[in-house]
Order: sequence, then structure tokens, then C-alpha cells
Amino acid sequence: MSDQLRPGILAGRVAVVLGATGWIGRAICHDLTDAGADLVLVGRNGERLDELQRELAAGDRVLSAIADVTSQLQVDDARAAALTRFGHVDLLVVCSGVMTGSAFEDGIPADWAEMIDVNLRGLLHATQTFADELLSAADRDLPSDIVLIGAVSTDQHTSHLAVFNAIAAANRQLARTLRHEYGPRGLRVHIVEPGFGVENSADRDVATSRAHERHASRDASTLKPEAIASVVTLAAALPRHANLAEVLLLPTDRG
Amino acid sequence: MTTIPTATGRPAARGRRPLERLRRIPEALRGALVLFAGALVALIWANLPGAGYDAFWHLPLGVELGALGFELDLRHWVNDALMAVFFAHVTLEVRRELELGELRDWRRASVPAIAAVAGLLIPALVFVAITWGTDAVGGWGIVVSTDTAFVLGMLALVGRVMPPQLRIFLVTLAVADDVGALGVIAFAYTDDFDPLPLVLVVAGLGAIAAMRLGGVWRGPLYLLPSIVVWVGFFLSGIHATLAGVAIALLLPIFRPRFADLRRAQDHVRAFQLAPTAGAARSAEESLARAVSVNERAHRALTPYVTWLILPVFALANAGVRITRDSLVDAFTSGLTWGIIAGLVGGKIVAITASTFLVSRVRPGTLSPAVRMSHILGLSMLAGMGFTISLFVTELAFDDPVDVSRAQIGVITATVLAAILGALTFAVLSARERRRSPDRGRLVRPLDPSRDPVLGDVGDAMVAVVEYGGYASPYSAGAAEMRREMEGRFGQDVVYTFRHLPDEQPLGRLAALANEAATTQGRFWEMRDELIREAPIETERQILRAAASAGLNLRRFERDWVDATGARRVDEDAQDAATMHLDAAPVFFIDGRRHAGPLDAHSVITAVAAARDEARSRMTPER
Repeated sequence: MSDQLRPGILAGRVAVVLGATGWIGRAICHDLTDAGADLVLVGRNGERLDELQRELAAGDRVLSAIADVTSQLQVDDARAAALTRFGHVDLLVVCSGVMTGSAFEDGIPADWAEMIDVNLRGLLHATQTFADELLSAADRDLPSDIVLIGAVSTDQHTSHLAVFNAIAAANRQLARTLRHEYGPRGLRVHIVEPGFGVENSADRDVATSRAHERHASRDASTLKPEAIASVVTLAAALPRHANLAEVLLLPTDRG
Repeated sequence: MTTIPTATGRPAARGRRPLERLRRIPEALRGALVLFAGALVALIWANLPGAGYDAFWHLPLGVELGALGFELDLRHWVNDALMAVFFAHVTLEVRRELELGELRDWRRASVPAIAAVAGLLIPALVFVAITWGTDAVGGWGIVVSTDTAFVLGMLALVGRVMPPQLRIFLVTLAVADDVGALGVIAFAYTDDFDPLPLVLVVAGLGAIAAMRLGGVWRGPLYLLPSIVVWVGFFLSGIHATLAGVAIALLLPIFRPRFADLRRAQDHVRAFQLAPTAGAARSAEESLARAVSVNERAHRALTPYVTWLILPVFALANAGVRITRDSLVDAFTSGLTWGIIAGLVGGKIVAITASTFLVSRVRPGTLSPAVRMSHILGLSMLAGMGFTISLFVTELAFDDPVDVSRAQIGVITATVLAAILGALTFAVLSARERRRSPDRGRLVRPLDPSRDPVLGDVGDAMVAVVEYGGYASPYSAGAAEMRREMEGRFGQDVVYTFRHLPDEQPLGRLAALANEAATTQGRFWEMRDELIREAPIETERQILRAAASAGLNLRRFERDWVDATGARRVDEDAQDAATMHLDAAPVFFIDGRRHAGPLDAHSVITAVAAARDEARSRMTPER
């Protein structure tokens, strides 16, 4: 799919992908590498990072950094590693996130805390940590982007994701406000909101079989991560004066 | 209106019983008092009619096992066996100072160490010059050493307002001087040397070394090989007390290791959860294991040395028969005058002159708080040569007349040195009080425009100012402190923290980091996190503390690098130097230095007392 874009369209750009080894993150990394960007993969699991790096087979253009987005210090280390290797950063993609759901009255507060930690606080830390570098790239009249991967928070079918959706709504609001703050300074803020359109079944106990559930819903989804990746690359590759600000990406068949 | 509840504190003016006062006097002074009492009793006893004193100390005491017999008179048991423990104690202290303490830093230790060497040589030369050509010249070892117990006790008594650096100087001097004295005893006063029994010594020391390598940490297990070493030294003719030195040199010393501390903590926690005998035992063991054998042995021996060995030694050795004739004889002999001149005059000249020269040649080696007048007073006290001098007397002379002359010389010199030192320090103290009447008082009152404060300066009855650092893991009481200050005293107490950066390379950087957090309104959070990271040994720990404190790391790094808080840090350090604060933490409660123990509980108790007092002043009794 990435062949649709001209190879090298992002040549010279340095992208940091948080949540690189995730379902969506992997696709984004492939697409960005194909588009010629230098890449810093940030994830929690060293083995999976290595595996991804091997898959990408882009040699020196890819650097892995182990970091948990919930740890400000580790994200800061990833930033230091990125700057040491590539000298600057002008594209930040945040696609780290966790999703747990259940009927609200059955919800587990620790799951909420985890989602708030990763999906909201982690995103805040990550964005702030790289803000200086992104702004300075923008100051030098270079394209500079923050791409947040959010989620459709108003999907009728996802009634069991109340907390997840609330945080997704917060993320969208953050992206909008940051866009107003950083747009005038030349830094584009984008948010991509995929809707997977997977119907919830009230019988399934989501909390106790999260991994299984996730795979089931992924397989069921007709929206593939490669599509999300294409949008990310497109957003970063657009001319500086145009901002693909908010993208609602839905599976065609679900309407 | 709410009424203030009646103060729960005890009445402010408490009657101090004499016993309590004795318990509150410094340990060094107590030790000296006990030693002095021993000497005094010996003098009185020896001068009672009859020959009770000498007869008693010559009573034989021994063990007999079949054909094997071992017998010494009481005085030799004291001088050869008990004193081995004393010398082991001294050696343990020397080793600790060498590896962890003052003597580790040669630059700092060089002045007192050189003074100690001069203090060994010059008095001996003075003595030799006076007694040249007589038999008495062999007693030169009598004048080489200062009595550590006496001199530290005297300093505690007469030098209370002196800068604490002076005590450190004196400890270093005394310890280095003891090393010299041990050498003198080993090499100059050994007779009838028989190398064969040294096999026993080697075997015993080998066993101790092997136990040390094998990680044996139970102190009592070292006892058996120690006795073997002692017997070996005794039979070889080398003075048996050196067994104590040799053994103490082998006992391991180390700083508490973090892993051991952690393990001990886990065991104690396990004991809290399940207070069984087994858990208590493993908690005890893990606690003991966290501290080196050296330090545990030193601590275990201290009460015996202070309360038993030194006073018994004085009792056994200071009993000089003082009659008109013996005094006339002594004060007309070169030997007595040689000792007096060597100990009093020799030490004064040696220590004062060498310190003066070294501090001139290499400026900065002497702490700025220590002045030459202090050193002069100290050199006078150093003439107190009691214990080792009497010890060497017994080794050097066999003729009772010579022994008597030497003993009278030693006692006279010790008394003279004590009087001279006390007078000098009295003058110095008066001058010191005139010059800086504020010692022990806070020079810069709590100022909310520069100090981050907990509580409200306007409402509070008591102000607490702490000077502290982050280098030591033992400052961990501080977080507790802060919670107590806020939770327990609420509006009654206002509290601030000031920097007393220690000489750890990162001490100042950590202080600057704490100040950098102030610009984000997180001084106290940062302080808690830095303490959690203590001891601060890497910059990464500081960065981690900043992240844990929830700071914006970019801003923090900028402010840290720009040293935005340098002014406060440097002012604090200067104030601390002015007030002679040398070791963190120091607490000032309403501007007065808190003198008691520094654990959180004691400090909080003192703050509560100050609060109750302030409260009772504010609500006059009806």
C-alpha cells in the first residue's frame, strides 16, 4: 500500500514512534521507513523492538530505544538517544495505548488508572518531552509534526468502552488545543481517529481475557493498520502550509 | 473563639538530679573521669600504711592443667592481657580512621599526622638530651605518647566552645600518635626474643584471616584464634599486648553496603509481620551482618575499655609511694625532669611548631576554623602521657627506684599538662565567647522571601530551620520530619530547609537541583525524592528524582545548568561555615541550635517542647 506514495517522500525527516511494536505502530514504522524517514522505535519490550528492527531492515536509519511512556525519565532517555544519533527530531507519532472495556459497573479501577496513565499521561509526557525539538525544527522552516493516534469516541457500538472513550475524547481535545497553540509557530498537530467498528458482545468478559479479546477484535476489524499508517505518512508529507488536522477513519462496510 | 487546650508538655523548669547530669556529660569526659578516679585511688592506696598495694598486685594468678602451668602476677595480667584488649581497641579505631575516617584523606590528615610524628620525636630527643650518659636514657619511650582517653576527656571539659574541627584534629593526632607508640613498644621494648612461638601467632592470625575471607561475621568466633595469637606473642617475648594490635588489623572494616541494609530491612519487616523467635534471630543476624566486625568489636569493647580496663590499669600502675624522700629523690633526678620536660615542653614545641610550619608550607591543609592559639592549647593537653607512659615505664625499668622516679615524672607531667591546657583553653574560651557570642545561634533568621517554608510565618509559634544535605542515606528521617511538621504541628510550626552541602562531589549539584525545582513550586517534593535517592552519587539519580517529583525535565535541566539557586546555596554554605556547622543535619529551633540526638523523634520532641513553652507564654495562667 505504501507503494502508492513516492519512495523517499519523507527523506531527511527524523521520526520518533512511541508504541512502535504495537499493532498499529508496526504498520506505521514500516510505512515511514518505506517513505525514507529515519526512525526511532520506542517500545517497552526489547525483544519485540529487535524483531521489528530486523523486519524493517533499514540499517543505520533505524534506532531502537526501550522506554515505557508512563516513565518520564525513560522517555527523556529515548529523546537523548534520538538526538545523539540523528541530531534532531521533526516527526513525533504517539500510538502507544491500551484498551480495556467492560460494563461500567463491572469496570476495574486499576484498568482505568492504567488507561489514564498510558493513553493520557503518557501522551502528555511524550509530547512535552519532544516539544522543544519539534518547535526548533519548525523555527528553521522545516516541516514538523505531531501525530496522535486517537480513537473514535462516539461510536454507538462501543458502549462497553466508556472510560477508554472518555480518554479518547480528552486526547482529541488536547490535539485541537495544541493545534491552536502550535500551529502559529509552524508545528502541525494531527489526530487520526480510527473506528474499528467491532461490535461488542455483552456476554464476553473483556477484562479477564484481554489478549484473546484484542486479537478477536483485530481479526474482526475490516480496517487494517496499514490504512492508518498511510494517513500518518500522508499527513507528514503534505506541504507545510496544509495541516491534515483531524482524520476520522472508518471501515467502509460499517457505514 | 476556640480555647487552646492546656499544654501536655512537662513543666519547663525540671529539676536536674546529679545522676542525670552525670549521664548527660560527654562520653569522652566520662572516660577521663573514670581513669582519673582509678589513678587517684591507686595513689591513695599505695600510700596507706603497710605494703598492701604492692603485695596485692604481685599476687600470682594462674591456670594449671596437669603438668602444664601458666602463672602471672596480677599486675602482669592487667598489663599483658587486659591491655591487649585496650590496644586492640585503639587499633580498631586507627583502622577505621584510616579506611573510612579522617586519615583517609591525606591532605586533611597530613597536618595532625606530621604533628604526631614530631610529637613522638622531639619529646624523645628532649628526654635523651637530659638523661644522656645515665642508665635512664632507655626510658625515652615514656614520653612519646599522648593519653588518648585523658586528652579527649579534657578537651570535652575545657574546649566546649571550641570549633569541632579541633576535636577532629586532636583525634587524628592522638590516633597517629598511638600508632607510633605501638611501634615503639614493639621494636624498642622487646627482650629475649624467641622466634619459635611465632608459629602459633601465624597460625592464629591465619585462622582469623581465613575466617575473614570465608565471610564469618560472628564476633565471638574470633575469640579462640585470638587467644592462640596472644599466647604465641607472650611466649615469643614480643610484648603480648601486640596480639591485640595484630588481631585488630585483620578484622574487616567496610562501609555498610546497600544490599546488606536492604536485606536487614527485609528481615526486620518480616519480623514485624510475624514476630517469632526465628524471625527475631534472622533479623538480628542480618542487622549485625550489615555492620563490619571492626565496628561491632569497637563498639562492644568500648564500655569494657572505658569502665574496666583503663581504670584497672591506672589502679595497677599509678600507685607510687609518695614520701618526702621519694619526692626529693625524684625531683633531683634527671629521669623525672626528663619526662616532665619531654612530655610537657617537648610536646608543646613539637606540635605547635610542626603545625605552624606545615600550614605555612601547604596553605589550606588546616581547617580555617582552627587557629594557632587553639593548637597551642592542644599541644599543652597533649603532654598528658598517662596510660602508655606508665605502661612503657614498666617495660623500660626494672629498678624500683627508677620506676618510682618515672612514675612521679609521668604523673607530674600529666597534671602539669592538664593544668596548662585547661588555663589556655579557659582564656581562649573567654575570648571566643567575646568574639562570637552567637555560636549556637542561627545567623540568618527564617526569611520567607528566600526560604521555602512549610507553614505560615505569621501564625507560627516556633520556627525550625534545618541545615542538611543529601549525601548520606541516614538523612532518611527527613521525609518523616516534614510529614510530622505538617501533620502534627500544623500552623504552630514553620519549617525550612537550608543547604549544608557536604564534600561529596555531587553535594552542591544536588542542592542546586533542589533549588531548580523551586521555580516549578516543587522544592519539597524534590527534596523528598532526592532523599529517597540518597546517597547521591550520580547525576542520573538527580534526574530521576526530578522525574519522580513530577517536574518538567526540560525546564528543570535549564534551571539546574543555569544554577538559578546558586545564590541561596552559597549563602547557606557561608552561613553554615560562619556557624561552624560541619556535619549535616543541624536543626535550629527558634534560632537556637538543637543539641540533642538527631533522629526524627528527638528533634520532633524538642520542637514540641518549644511549642508548648511558646504556648504557655502566650496564654498566661489565670
